[in-house]
Amino acid sequence: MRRGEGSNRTRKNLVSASDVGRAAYCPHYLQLKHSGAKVSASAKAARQKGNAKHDEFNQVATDKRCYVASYLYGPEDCRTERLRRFRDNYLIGSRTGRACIFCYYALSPALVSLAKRSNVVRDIVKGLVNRIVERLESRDEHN
Amino acid sequence: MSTISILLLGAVVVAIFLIVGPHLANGLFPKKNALGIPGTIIWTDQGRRTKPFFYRKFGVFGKPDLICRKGNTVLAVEYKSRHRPVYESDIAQALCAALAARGDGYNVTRALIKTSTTERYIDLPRSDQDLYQTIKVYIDLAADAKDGKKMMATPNTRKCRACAFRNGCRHAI
Repeated sequence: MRRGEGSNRTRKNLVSASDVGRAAYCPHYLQLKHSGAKVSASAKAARQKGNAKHDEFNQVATDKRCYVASYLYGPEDCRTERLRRFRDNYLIGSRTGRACIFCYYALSPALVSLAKRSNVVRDIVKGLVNRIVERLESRDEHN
Repeated sequence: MSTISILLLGAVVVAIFLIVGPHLANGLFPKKNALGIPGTIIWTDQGRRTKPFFYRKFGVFGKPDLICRKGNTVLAVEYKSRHRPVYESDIAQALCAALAARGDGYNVTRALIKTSTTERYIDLPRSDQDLYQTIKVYIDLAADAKDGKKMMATPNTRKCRACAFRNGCRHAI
């Protein structure tokens, strides 16, 4: 029975989507891969970098709460980290600060949702958050 | 106008707003998720702990990076982190992953290949057989390679420069 005409295949007969892509790239690549050819150092480094980018992509995709700073700058950006430090080092220690955090967590998903739908809202929010980050940076420099 | 009439009118206006408003908002401001892709994310690849999809009838398995749903459209997303355009190999991979997802019950109708700089949407054939036929040549090549057959090389300056096996390949340019 020819391939793809209704026969069930065992796992070892199946081909992966990435191999199908590689077949379009260069079939000889697959021959080298299956024969155990050595991967170049630059390719290993590029693969690691690509995997890190994929992890970041998946992290953004699965972050259901979607904080404002993560949305604007990315979850690993230094500005996001600075805001997190401000939250953890200053806000969380006082009742007012904890109330601010509570309001922020309650409102930020809706705010991010609105910002994604409207460039005007996104620009306003980004301007405000940028100013907060600049204030924090200048305060850190003074300290 | 009496107070009751005003209140009733107000309630009707609010009810209309609540019913019509979200549809209007979706029309004017299409909803996108955090990645800027339209629709709601219904499946993500969590790495090694996420099992791939299988479609044994066509001899393929794989997983896209994301599956999103918007209305009747189910979108399989393939993400490439490079700052370059979409290549034929990306399309073949994305279509194969979409076919595999169909084998596990996701009725994928569109594919999106997304790089750091480009997006390309592809409408998929309705039938799985037709989708399979669009990439059959590559599936057969991949299967032949897995069976240990000799495979032809398609050397190209750009491809060979980026190839992981460049150092061990006598066809590389």
